[in-house]
Amino acid sequence: MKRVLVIDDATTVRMYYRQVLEAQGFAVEEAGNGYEGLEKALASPFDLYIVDVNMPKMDGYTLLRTVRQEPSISATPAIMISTEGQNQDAVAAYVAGANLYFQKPVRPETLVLHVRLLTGENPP
Amino acid sequence: MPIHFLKSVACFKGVCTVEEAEPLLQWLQDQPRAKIKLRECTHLHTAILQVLLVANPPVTLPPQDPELARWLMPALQNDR
Amino acid sequence: MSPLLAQFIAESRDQLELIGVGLLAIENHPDDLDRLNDVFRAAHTIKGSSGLFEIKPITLLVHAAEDLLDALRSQEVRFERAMVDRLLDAFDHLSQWLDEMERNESLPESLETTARELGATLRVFLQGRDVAAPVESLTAPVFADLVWIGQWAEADRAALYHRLATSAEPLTLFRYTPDSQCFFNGEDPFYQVRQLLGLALLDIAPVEPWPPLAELDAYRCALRFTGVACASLAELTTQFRYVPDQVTLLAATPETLAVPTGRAGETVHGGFVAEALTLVDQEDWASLRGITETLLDTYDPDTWMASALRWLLRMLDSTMPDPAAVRLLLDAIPAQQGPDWLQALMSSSAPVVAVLLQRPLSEIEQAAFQRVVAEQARVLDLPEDPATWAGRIGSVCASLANALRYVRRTDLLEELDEAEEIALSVHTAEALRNVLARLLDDEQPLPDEEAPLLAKVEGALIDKSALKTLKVDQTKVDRLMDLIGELVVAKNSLPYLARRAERVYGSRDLAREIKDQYGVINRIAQELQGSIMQVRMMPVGHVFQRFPRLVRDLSKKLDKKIRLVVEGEGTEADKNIIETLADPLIHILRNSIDHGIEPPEERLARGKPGEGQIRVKAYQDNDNVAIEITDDGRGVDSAAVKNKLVRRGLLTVEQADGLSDHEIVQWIFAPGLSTADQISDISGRGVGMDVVRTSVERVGGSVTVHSQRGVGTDIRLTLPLSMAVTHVMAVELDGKLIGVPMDIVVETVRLAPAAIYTIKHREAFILRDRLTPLMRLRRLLEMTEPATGGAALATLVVKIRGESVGIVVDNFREGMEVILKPLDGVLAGLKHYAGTALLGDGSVMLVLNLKELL
Repeated sequence: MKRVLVIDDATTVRMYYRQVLEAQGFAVEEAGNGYEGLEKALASPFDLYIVDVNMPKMDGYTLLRTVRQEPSISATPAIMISTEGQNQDAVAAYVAGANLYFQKPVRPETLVLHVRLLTGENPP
Repeated sequence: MPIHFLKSVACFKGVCTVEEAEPLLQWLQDQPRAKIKLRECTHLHTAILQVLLVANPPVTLPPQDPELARWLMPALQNDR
Repeated sequence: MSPLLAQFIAESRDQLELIGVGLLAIENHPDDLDRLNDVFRAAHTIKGSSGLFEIKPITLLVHAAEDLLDALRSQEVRFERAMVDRLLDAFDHLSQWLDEMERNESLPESLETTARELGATLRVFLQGRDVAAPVESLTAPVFADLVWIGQWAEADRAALYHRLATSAEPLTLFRYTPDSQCFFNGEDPFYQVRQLLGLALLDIAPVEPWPPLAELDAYRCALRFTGVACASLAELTTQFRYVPDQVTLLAATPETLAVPTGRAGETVHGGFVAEALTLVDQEDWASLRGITETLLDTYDPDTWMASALRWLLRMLDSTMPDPAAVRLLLDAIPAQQGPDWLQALMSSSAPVVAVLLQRPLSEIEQAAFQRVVAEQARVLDLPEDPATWAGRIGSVCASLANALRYVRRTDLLEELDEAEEIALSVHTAEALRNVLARLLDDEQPLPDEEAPLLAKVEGALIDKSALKTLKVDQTKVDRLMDLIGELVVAKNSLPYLARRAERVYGSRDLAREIKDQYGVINRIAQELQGSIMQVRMMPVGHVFQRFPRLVRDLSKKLDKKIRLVVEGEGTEADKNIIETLADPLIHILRNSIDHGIEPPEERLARGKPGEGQIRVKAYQDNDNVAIEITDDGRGVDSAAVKNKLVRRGLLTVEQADGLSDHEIVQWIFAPGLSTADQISDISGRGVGMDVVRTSVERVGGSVTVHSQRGVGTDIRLTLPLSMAVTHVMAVELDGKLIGVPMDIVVETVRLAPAAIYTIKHREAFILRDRLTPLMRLRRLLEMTEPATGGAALATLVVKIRGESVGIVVDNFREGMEVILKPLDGVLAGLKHYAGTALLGDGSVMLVLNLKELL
């Protein structure tokens, strides 16, 4: 079972990702800010990180930059999802270390499809 | 012109395009007792549909095109 | 209420409390940036989550508040006391709206205006600052609930439910709210909706209450189309691809239609639900049906209860009722409200995305894959940062590898691995970029399902050319092909030059250098040739397309039942080859239908199924493409063929008797031999299979047939993948060069005259213990033969139609690649020659067609 770490300060958003992804057979862990996310990421391996931008304690950019420099987890694919939809927002996400960028809200089918692609999880 | 305006009746024919929405609106505003005939209409543009929904004139003859009638008529009769 | 919505309301209330306290603190300490940040983030959180629901007023208002807070914390605007008043006012409204949500699970649309007005009072403070217009959400919101399905008459929904139960069609819900300015873009949303595949239910309603007729703006679209279509999510996504942000789609199950409607408030028979649930656990559908019917009789048909029970019965009508769905409906009965099918869709593992993920890959999946690849290309094109380089490369490669696994392109994983290694060790992503470019070229990108950020990418960040497919006029490719052919020939002059350098000018070194250069040019020319060949490749399926119609029409005409099975239509070969194939294949097919497959009565009498089968199968076989046409008909009557061969004087009786059945059957390709007893107008007037062989051999292919009387016939065509360049073996004859196609040359031997036997005026020799016929090329071409004495004879061993034959020539020369030009004009009738080829020294060489000559 592929493991996805969801890092977002909004409980509702985390719950939404959890509902959508668990229904499709993913194991979902949550973290409420970048710092907590980094701790969880370092504690056990994940197949994908889904990261919000604006969070207390440590924001998504800092988290991704740190992840990309940490050899044990640096190659883990990451999707960044935030409320902004400008080109520069995607670029900032990619500079920080994201592999895909979406604007909130993401439709469940879109989310699941891209999570499957980035984790290589083929549907049954 | 696919919409023919008679004294108090407008006859729709064929495909009624967006250009006719404004004249239709004008006519309906001037004709509080207007009726419309859609018998020979095969499609009407969304803008016209909207005008009809607001003005809500009685439709004396529904479209012959069964598919158009199926989607259009329930909407037109909704508010009555 | 859905747990998600409940969570949202609870979380937002917490945030509002934070905001309230924070704002009061800020009022006293406007410079407290930490506080400002907290308040901003709380507002941001509400906004982000609100997008998950259909609650535009909340999203709009929080967005405005967030903008003001953002401007404050970044010190773009100066703090004013009035700001706090307005912000508190806005958040108070928000708090009331959350209460409203908790009561009704939705907000009246009229609040949108209130939200805009409140938002405007906040945006006043932002004047003078360059505010970007709020970006409308690029992705459409999801449905908040599905109770709106109850707006359609139960009878209509029941009819649809019934239809879906028997047809297993997909079902997709849609809500399309066209942009208010869409008429100016030439859009006609009503027309677009009418075009939807499988449109089954439709509601047309205004997005807000209509203004009086006198104030109506005819050119502002204020409608919303909601409906249900018997089409897959992918199909509707494609149909709405130009307005993805205005459409909400959801793949649904038929149960979604089961929304009970009617007068609520009837008393519910206490034990029913509990008893029914027990029966569901036991899957005792018959008993459940029984008690449901009994209960239904006790309610007025107009009531909610009656409606729910009717839906229950409809579900039970299914051969295999879905226990989960039945339970959900039963659970709704005590409250006489619901059920929430959206919850069921979200939590069950099957539906929501099932449509997306069916095999083979859907367009949406392809597009998503392309998007993943394109975005990785973007990442690679970013300015380098040594600190994150390894992580960036690693994550890009991991993402790509996983995406490749998803789309089942594991063949590329190794290449990707190598590119990653290069990128990590020598710090350049060039190899990786090449892999990406190939993936992007591979499939044409489809219009993305949500025209995402990708579409807005500025030129510098992504190589747009990598996404494009070029359409080229075929004559241009042909011209390129001709030029490459000339290059191949021109390059052949270098060995001559080397020889001249050595012999005439005595410079061995120069000769070697020329030969080295020749090697380089030769390699490039071959690669060039290979690449252009790839361009000209097309799938054989192009020709197969006509077959189903042909089989259908002919079998109808002949009163036969025939099933056509086509396999391997994706196999590729050169365009010219494919085009040559069309006529022979149709000829073979006609023959199978006309002569091969028996009429149904005859088949049944023979114990075969009444329906005959013709299988056309293409596959690649080394450098050839093979096509097999197999039928299970009566097979070739070898006795009849033998008879005819003898009667026509093509074979003597003894010769014929000496041949095996298999060998006899090959004669069906001989000119003028038609085995059918009568000439029908279907296989043509006596035009035999010789036409097939001639056209196939003209492009360097071959044809064989296997047939078993009563069981069927199997005809196999083998064709080269490409015919641009021909490998020939050059031989000397009477001081001139003559070419022999390399593909038939087996070996060269030097034969002592003593080793030649003469049997009945025919010569032969022993080749590996087999007596092999021997021909002399001079004799075949009616040239004089000089006495050769006891010298060994240069003999070319060729294989023609499976038989080895020795051909005596004056001398062997080198093998070479030539561009074969068919003979034309008056020479076209000379069947002994396949064509001419221009040699490197400018002379012309004739190339033999040995199959015709022998």
